Amino acid sequence: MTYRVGHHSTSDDSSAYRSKKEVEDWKRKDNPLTRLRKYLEARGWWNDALEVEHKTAIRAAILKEFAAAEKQKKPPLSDLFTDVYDQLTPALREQEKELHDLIERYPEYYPTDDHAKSS
Amino acid sequence: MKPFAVATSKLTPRMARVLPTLGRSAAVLQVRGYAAASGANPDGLRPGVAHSQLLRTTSQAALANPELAAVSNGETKRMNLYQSVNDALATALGTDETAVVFGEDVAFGGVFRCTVGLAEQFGKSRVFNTPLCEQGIAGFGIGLAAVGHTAVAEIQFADYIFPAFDQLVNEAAKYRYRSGGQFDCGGLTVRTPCSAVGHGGHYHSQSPESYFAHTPGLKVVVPRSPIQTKGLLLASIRDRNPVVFLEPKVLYRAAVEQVPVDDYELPLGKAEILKQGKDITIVGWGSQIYALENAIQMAEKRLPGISCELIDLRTILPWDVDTVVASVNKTGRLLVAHEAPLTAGFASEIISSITERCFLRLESPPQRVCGWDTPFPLVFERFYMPNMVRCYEGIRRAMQF
Repeated sequence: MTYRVGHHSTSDDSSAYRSKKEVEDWKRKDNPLTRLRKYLEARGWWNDALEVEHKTAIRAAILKEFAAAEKQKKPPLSDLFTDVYDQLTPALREQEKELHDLIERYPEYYPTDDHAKSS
Repeated sequence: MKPFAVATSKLTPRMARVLPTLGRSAAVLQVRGYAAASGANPDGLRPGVAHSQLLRTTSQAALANPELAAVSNGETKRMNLYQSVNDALATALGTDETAVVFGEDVAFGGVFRCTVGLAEQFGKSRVFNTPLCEQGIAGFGIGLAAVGHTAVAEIQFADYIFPAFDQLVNEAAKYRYRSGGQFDCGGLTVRTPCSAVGHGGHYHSQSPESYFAHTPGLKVVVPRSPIQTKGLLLASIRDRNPVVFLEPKVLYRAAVEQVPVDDYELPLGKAEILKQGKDITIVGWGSQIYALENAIQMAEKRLPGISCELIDLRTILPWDVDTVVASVNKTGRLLVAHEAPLTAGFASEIISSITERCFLRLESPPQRVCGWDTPFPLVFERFYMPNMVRCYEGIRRAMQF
């Protein structure tokens, strides 16, 4: 069995549906994260300095990739229809053309500048 | 964005299990607004539920509905759609001592707040949480109903009803038939939030009505507004057949009406004509009704002189063939729109039946405006949806054939 000690997400307050005591109890009781940390430290494979160094490095790397990803365009519209199957079916080809024609006819309702061009 | 923003603040163990990134992606989407429209409407329209003229926002307008004649002397109260669900459930629990309400997280109010306060009001033995097991929820409900209870089950999202598909299709739907009418589970109603919400992605957006419409023995209902929801949900709960009740989640907070506080039902199996017209019949249900309302406004502006008839089907199974036939015999044209994928969607069934019955009256090919034959996409939602413009284009094609 597993137990989630954190909130479900940044927008979740899990105290709405479970007691804080329940969460604290699970954090202490037989917590595999704590056990592994103690094991690693006992073996001399991990320590506080390594922990800080690792956390700093990984945080910087994630933020860098995050910023780079945010600058990218959204995927091309053709991606809406690919990967449903290994190849486009006749129906999907027809529907992709219908969407393309619709965007051409009503560009004021379908801005596409924030998407990459289809190849 | 508002409905889901609130809902995601109450993410639950169920959501934790199935969609570990939902809360995060929903938060990101609120900032970046993937699916949001921007700027002024090119046709000078005010689209969206917030501006709908179909919602009855005064007590007088609400009670003028002839279907509400039984409560026309009563009071109304301002409610959104989730509050009207709550009101219907409280009414069902208060008038039927065998009624119970259960599902994942319903005891603390549910992710969309539909059951808030009910456990406190009616007790934990009548309003209770279940394990995270949709097959179990449905099976438990079938058993309860079979021994005489009124069982109102909640599946947290329609996207997660499929583990219960076997129970609903093979057990609930066939219970009466296979026992030659000796037993049934007609006291079962399964409520579940469905359809697009702006940023739900593959697993919080689907509209599974046609899967269940292919199951003789089930009824399938999709309400469009708070007044409709209360009346149709009470009718579903009291109907002597198992009902799948699909609640368009985007409307939970967005759709607000003056809802009669008294106990009332609206008829199952009966469509409602929301707007009379002479040139084309337009059929939809649930949240799609508002896209169709806007498409009609666009059509009547861009194609001067035409008038469109709008029908809310309300019950998908058994559906009201007669109302649609009578309308198409008047207009000669038909468009059906839904968010579910085009192929084998319920629009296909409606158009087949109408073509059989009205063939010589049709002036142009009936139009289907539906989701594409893809999974429901996240980043492409606004290109997937049968929105106002696509529905308008369908009307134009039917009119200019």
